Amino acid sequence: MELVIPILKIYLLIFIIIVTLYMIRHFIFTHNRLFGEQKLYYQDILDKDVPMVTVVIPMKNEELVAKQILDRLVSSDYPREKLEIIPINDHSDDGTKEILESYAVKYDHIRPYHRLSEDEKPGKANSLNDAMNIAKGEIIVVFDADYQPPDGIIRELVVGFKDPEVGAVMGRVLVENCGANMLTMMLELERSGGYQVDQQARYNMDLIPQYGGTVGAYRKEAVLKMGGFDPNILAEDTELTYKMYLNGWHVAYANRAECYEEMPEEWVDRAKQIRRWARGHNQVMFKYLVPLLTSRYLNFRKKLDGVLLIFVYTLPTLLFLGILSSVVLFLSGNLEIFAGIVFLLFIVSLGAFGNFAPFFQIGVANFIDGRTKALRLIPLFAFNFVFYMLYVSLGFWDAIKDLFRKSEPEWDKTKRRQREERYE
Amino acid sequence: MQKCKAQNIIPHRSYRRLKIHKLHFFSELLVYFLFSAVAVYLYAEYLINTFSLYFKNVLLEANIDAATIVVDIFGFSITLLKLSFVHTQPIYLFFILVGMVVLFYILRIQRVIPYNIAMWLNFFILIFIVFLLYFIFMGEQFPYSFIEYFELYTTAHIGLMFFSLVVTASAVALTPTTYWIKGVALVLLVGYYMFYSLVRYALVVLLTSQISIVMAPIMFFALYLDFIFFVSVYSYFLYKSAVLFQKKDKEWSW
Repeated sequence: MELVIPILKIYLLIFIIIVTLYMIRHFIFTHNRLFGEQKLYYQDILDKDVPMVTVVIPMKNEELVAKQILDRLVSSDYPREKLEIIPINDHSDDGTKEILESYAVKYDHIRPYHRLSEDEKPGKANSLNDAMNIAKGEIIVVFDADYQPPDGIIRELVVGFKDPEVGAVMGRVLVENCGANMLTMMLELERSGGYQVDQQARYNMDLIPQYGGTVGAYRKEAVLKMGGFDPNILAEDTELTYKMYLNGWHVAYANRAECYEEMPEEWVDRAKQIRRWARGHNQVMFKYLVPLLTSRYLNFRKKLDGVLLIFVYTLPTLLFLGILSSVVLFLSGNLEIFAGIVFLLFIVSLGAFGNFAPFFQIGVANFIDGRTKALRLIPLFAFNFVFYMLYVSLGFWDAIKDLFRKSEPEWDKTKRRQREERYE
Repeated sequence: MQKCKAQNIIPHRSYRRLKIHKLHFFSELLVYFLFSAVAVYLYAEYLINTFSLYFKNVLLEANIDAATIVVDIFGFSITLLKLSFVHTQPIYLFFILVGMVVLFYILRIQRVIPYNIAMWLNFFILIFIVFLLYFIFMGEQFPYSFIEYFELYTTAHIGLMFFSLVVTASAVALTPTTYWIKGVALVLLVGYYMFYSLVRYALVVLLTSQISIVMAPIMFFALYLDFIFFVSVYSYFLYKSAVLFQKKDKEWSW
């Protein structure tokens, strides 16, 4: 016990310092987005000379949403002779294959790619790697199957590659089913905080905006040269972000390139999603932390932001240990010197980790978005922190197990609830 | 020919921002921090002392043996009430424990309360279960006397009050509305919080001295829920500001 108490005290002190650092970081981001000079994306560039683009849509059992996204993509204003659409049927056992084939008959620029053989391992990273090998486009644009890309979004995303330093582009994700229930309303608020403030501020400040794996695009040759996507990593988007920066490329963030997606409507689906993200993000953390710190392409500010970003899905586990430490220190009569500051831990847990962004960041983001009535829901985020702490911690634990287990992790797909009648 | 005039053209959300004078913002931030410090000073130096003396008399009139003692917290001489903890028989604690386990299970399987809120409640039930187990098996080792506990409680409360005010004041500084509204919001927020803090202090004294010592750790960790109050006030304040601002096209710039 003589050894445990000092360790717990040191741990608690260090953790409180770290979470305070995160809080300050998000305050700076929020201030920058609300009052600072905004770095505009390249959407005002008009050029007839557009590159050949391949739109890739990884799909597994997506019969409920496949028609919707394909219809939207065929109505795109991007020149058809420069556009190729590859929906990837990744071991679907529903009607996805038939839907894709029916579209291929109608539109010659839709070329479905069926991954059905047992030799072809399932998963998004594997699908994207295979698609790159057959894609004709020099730029790959990725959409998840439940997204609803507007007509001009391909052009908006692709124009960013006029800048020779840009290796990947990320657009903004909005919630289509935000009015479905309380969960989706809160997810919409959360998404706004993440894109309107966090991503845009990082782009403004020349830090590390994140490629998000959908409503995004990347240079095919650059990614192939970097060895494609690691099939063992579930967060191929976070991996690509770090790979890009470690190889001297930049990620551009297009806040105006908005695309709607369907969010989970059940907590149990959200739990699976967040656990998968946490697992993938922590896999990236284990793989890229040292290369990030030693990179010759990144300055100190970028490295600092990269480190803080890479640890985002580790913090809830550390928070849980922090709460545990404070309970042990209290019951053992050793909390005296921390009593005045221990609640900073709880403030930050409530203010920040209930939703991966502090309450004021979410508030300001939605204020900018003009989403006024929803602002009254912010206090409800207080109830999410236990949920996130548990499922992110489980994802972290999964990632630790992955370190010692060499088999490829299985992709646990988010359940779709898109209703045919809503679309029709 | 009718003159063409652009009216109420509000910039698109993607890159719009608000005009600000940096010096004003940082001055405002400084003023709010000072306000937070003054509020904490008033509470620690005057309010809690006056209230403790008043509440001691109330307790004495109710035939509850109470005294006061002055302790040093963060350099303030704070008067705290001195009573004694009530220890509960382990058998009663065991019954409460069983009740808590049942409640935990019900919350886990029910489908009425949303999953996130049920988990949140279960988290606190779990912590309560830990405290119950502690008092059942190691109750006599509880390391605090009544006054030591309240010294710790008050230290934590003042720390929480200061940090909550600083965080909320920083968030208020980020809110684009008039200084007048911000000032009124902060004064009301702090005024209500101080009143509530004193009432809660009295409640914790009564719970731990008249009901059970088990309430001591629960009420200590329940302090953190205060922050929900701060966030609630902030969100309503921001909502009101947002309603006003959406129509003000001149406030936004690109």
